[in-house]
Amino acid sequence: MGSDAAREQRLKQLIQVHEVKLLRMCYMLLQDKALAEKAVQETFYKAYQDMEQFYEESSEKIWLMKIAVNSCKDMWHAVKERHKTPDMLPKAALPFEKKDEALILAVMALPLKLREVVLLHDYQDMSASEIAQTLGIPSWAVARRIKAAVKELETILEGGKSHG
Amino acid sequence: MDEKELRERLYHAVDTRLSGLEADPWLAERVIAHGRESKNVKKKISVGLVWMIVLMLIAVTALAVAAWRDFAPWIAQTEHDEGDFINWPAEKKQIVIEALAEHEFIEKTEEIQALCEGRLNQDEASRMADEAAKAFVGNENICFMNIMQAAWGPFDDWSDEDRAWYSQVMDDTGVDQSDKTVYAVPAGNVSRDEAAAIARKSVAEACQVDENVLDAYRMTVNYQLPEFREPGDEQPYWYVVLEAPRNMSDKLFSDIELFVHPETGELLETASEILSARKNIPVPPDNQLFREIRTYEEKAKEMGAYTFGEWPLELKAVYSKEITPKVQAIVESGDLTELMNCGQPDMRVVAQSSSIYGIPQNGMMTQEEAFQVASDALAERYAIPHDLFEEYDEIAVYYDVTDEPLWKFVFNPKSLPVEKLKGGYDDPLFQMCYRAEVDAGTGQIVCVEEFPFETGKWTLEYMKKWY
Repeated sequence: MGSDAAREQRLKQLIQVHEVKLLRMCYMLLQDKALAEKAVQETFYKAYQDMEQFYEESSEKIWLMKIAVNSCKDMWHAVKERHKTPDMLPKAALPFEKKDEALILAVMALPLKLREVVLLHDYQDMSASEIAQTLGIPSWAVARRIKAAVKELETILEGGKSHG
Repeated sequence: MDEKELRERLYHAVDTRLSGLEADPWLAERVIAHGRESKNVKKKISVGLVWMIVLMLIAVTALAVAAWRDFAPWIAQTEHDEGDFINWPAEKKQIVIEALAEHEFIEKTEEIQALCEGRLNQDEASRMADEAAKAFVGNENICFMNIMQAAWGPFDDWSDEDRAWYSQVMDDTGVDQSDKTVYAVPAGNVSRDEAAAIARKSVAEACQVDENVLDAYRMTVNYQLPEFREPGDEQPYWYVVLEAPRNMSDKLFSDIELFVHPETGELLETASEILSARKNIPVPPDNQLFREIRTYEEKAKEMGAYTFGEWPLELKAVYSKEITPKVQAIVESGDLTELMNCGQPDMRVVAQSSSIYGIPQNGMMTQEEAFQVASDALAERYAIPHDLFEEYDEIAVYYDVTDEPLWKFVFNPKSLPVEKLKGGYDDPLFQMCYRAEVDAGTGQIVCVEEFPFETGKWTLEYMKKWY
């Protein structure tokens, strides 16, 4: 990457494209608004510091998601409240249906390993191969975790079961 | 709910229910300002480590197929990059256990399930993965080869293709293959059975026996690059070994190895050439001096001591009295014929006669007291963890009475248990010998030194450091 100005310009573009979705994903991973904001800032800071790295990688999104997921994992130990109830979620800016809220809470009740795969696959719209690169696990493991997550979500949504 | 429905619902649900989580208009400015503040500050190691891990994870992209053969190279690569399994990050250990369970090599117990789903914290996950891996390989040494043997059976029973795959994995991983057997997938006009027949015929001719006589010998055949090939020579051969059973009396040979060219059927060396070359191998000296030395060595072995340094002090003292003067006289005469062993003077014999050894008299420091002083001094001088000195399995101990009595200790690094070393086989402590001398009268340290362990370069100067 060239000058500081060019790096700053690139950072602003990255933030514009990815910030909101990253923030919501980090929130669902960390279950805490302040920690999620911190993880997002940390992600963009690391990206800004190592902007050259991106040019050696195949995908901007994989590169950024790797940093974000790793930042969240670094902070996971700080998460104290791992059970969320509807009133603990941040206030919504748009109208929503109860079933949306239930699904959010169900995903947040999944084990971290399943949750990160679901969020990357179904919210960040990444393929199994991209997720494999992001998490450093084999593709078959991604596919298996997605299947396990769907099964687990059905159980949670139908039976009210919840993981800590 | 299926996967498609989940994707549609989740996307919508997150962007409505979590719509309150919005962009921070000052984020870019804060990140840039933070970057400027840190510009002149050296990057934290943690950032570097995170990137090393990220880069390493990129290497995992080829793992798209579920077959164990396709996954296993990831273990080899990770071992190459991270070192011993025991020191891997929990996340990576977990992947191995998950794969073993996935391929039904291990049972998916509740604990393994919890590990695979990430429901354990880092420490628990790491411990659980270690336990599961140890149970799988059947011993404490969790490494790629042991995992593969636990999965596929003993290496000797693997097919030629599996062995070739293993060599290719090692090559791809970046392991130096120059001193290792490199296997290949059989190719060429000569089949395995034809190669075995060619080798048998050659051996029978060389030994002037009927081929049926060789039925009593165990034959192994595989396809590999000869170990002593010329650099750049990548021609694989059929490798045929004939071994005599251990309890066979009146055997033709203990074992013989032949290489058969897969295209021409020619032998790299015939059995006659190999057996005649063996006749020219120098044999250990059989003069009076060496016979006497061997008597001492046999006595020491009966006591469980295999190196001179480990011999009991009493035996060393008698050796010093009986043998050392003879060796010193030969050295002083300048005619070293009697000391010749395999074409050159036996430096080991000369070195162990370079001092006079005795046994401590009353009033002198005991071995335990001297050991304490020696290990304290070495620990302080070379910043070695003090408790490490208890871990050496081979410590040469001498009571040297050449002049003022000295206690001497030499620590053999190759006798350290590797699992106790942070860097495993590459740990500097595994390469460095330590030596200390303590005045047995005053308890003062006379000398502490470290020197690299040498293999094969046994000069008199190096050998003397061990005595």
